[in-house]
Amino acid sequence: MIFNVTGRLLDACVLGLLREKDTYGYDLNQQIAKYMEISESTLYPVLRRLTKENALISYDVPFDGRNRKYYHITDVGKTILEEYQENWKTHSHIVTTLLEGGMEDEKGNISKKLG
Amino acid sequence: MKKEIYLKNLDKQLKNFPEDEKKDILDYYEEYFQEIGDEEEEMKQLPHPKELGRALKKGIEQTDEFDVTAIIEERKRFVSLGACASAKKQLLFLLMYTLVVTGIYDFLLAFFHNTNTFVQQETGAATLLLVSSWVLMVLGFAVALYFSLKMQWFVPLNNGFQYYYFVYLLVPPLLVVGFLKMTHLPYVFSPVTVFLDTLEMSTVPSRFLAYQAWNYLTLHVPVYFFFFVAILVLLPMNFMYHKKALVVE
Repeated sequence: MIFNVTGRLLDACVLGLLREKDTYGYDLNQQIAKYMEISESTLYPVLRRLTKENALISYDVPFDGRNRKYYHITDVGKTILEEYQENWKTHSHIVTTLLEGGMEDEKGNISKKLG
Repeated sequence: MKKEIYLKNLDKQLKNFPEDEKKDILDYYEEYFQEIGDEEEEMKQLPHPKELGRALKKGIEQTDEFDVTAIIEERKRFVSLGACASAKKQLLFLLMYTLVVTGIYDFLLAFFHNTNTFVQQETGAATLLLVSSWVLMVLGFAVALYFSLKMQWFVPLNNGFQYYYFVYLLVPPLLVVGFLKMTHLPYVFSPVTVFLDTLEMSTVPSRFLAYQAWNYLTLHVPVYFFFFVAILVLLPMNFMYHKKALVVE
């Protein structure tokens, strides 16, 4: 992928995935890796920060004689995610419009430029 | 690279991280590698531990930049642990220390210098001067040790060198100097005065000058030299440590 998904956008992706179901670091990495390139060093800082912001909590689940650290989205996390989703709608709309050569009409609606 | 070796190497790369953060990261990657299992191909694709450590540091710094509260929390954590103090505070401490120890010492010297009785009836006054200055030096070190150890004003440096160790470095030479001063009274017996005696130039002012010269050579030069090293070498190293540890104060 030419465009990097980093920072808040990656936060939003992680929160989105975790809203579906709780999971552990490696699994999250693999899920994201299905769609885009992600380095082993990318996810840890994101999980760390989201946990610090109380958007996630973690708990241990015994597996195969060891523990897996599962991440769970909190209510704070869900609120943040909703905000991100709203924001992304506008943001992606603007970017798509600009990329495809759109323009704003008098009413403030973005329409496609003709010709 | 084997997992254990990889984790060990990663551990080395994380030496600037706070302990709990380091543990968190190592736990994360240990679990990560256990998930990979025995698939060597996937292990091969991992970045070098050095690169991973660097990327993590950068990642953590960058993500923290987004959120001011995270940085404040981080600072609080460092400060509350008492693990470090600002370099400004340390510089102030060094200056205070220099002033207290050498300043009072010099003041006493100057005070006795201006009274001719000292020069004429040397033994009693000279002993008083030497004993009191020696006591002051010991007190100065006690203060330095107290603040550096109890209040942990000094932090361990990246290379494992403890900043406050330099205080210990100063103790033996100065104890020797203090002992020599008490027992031999360099005012009378310094090599310079002995030299002047052999030249038959030993007048009262020249004896006092010789005493001062000897005093500066044995006490002041080493003291100022160590402070010079401390301020010019160790403090910048400490600044770098603070910068790396994400602490801004």
